[in-house]
Amino acid sequence: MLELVIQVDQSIILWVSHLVGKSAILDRIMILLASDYFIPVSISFILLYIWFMGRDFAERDKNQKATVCAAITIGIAMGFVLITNSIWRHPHPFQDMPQLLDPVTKYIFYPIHDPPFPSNSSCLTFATAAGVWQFNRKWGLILLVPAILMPLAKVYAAVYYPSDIIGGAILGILTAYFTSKIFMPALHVPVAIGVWVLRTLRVG
Amino acid sequence: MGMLQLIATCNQLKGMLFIRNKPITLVLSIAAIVFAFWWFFYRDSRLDTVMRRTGLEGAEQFAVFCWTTFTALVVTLVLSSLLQMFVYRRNARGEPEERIEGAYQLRYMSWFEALREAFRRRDESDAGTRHSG
Repeated sequence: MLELVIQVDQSIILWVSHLVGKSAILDRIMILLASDYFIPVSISFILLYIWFMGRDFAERDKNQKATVCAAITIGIAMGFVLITNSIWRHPHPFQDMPQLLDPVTKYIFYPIHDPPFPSNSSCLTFATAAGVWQFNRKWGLILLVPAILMPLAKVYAAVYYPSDIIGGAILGILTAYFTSKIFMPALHVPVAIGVWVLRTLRVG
Repeated sequence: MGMLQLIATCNQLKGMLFIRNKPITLVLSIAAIVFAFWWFFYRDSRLDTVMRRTGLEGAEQFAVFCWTTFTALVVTLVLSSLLQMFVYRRNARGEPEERIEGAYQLRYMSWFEALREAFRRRDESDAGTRHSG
């Protein structure tokens, strides 16, 4: 089963890598999308926008919960990635197929050193989109666009296998579900205790 | 700061705006965001294989983003409050239909005024608590 996944992964990478260098515009777009800065910063800007958005108190409250959920999900998901990275390691596509290193990976991105499974960029973008989606469906769907584009650009650059991307996406989505259904409701208890303590101290 | 101006103009947070004209603010804030991205990507090659030279790692990027956002927010709030005090002089101030708290007070007043309002409310609340006690 694992060998079949590896075979499918490698054939997809080889097929996609043939596109590199064919179109200068596509390459420039992929360089921008694969960048460590463009999509993460854009997503952060969108979260900042969502925080302030809303016509009335209920809508603003929902949007602010969406932003908080996304931020907490990112933190927890990155912890899970770190743990999974230390358990399961396999080579990057440019390490399995060194012929791709110079013409593909170094041209579009750079040869990263972090373990590939699960893809941390895929986990980050999907965690954000799924975290927002739990409270705001429309913006969750909008955030799904950069969430898909960035990992695709990393596959184009032969940095990750498709299975690394899917693994990261599943981890991000599950973490968002856990955060919104279990972690955030549980947060009410320490917050309520803190508010009660502050009120008591102030009256005293 | 461009992003904060865009947020302020889209959500009618007048107390946070530098320029009270919506189309001008929209154009200038989008131009500021595009320029910031252009400057970042074209000043240096951010795809350097030696990451430490021109790149940032994830944790560094997070710290830089938080710090710059905080700085931009403080600068925006102070500058817009000063503009409100000395340039606009509250001539276009509308009264809120309901008692609003939090960032949405900036629809009707500057940050300095919102702070003064918050302190006034706290003093009233303390006086009420002492009186009832």
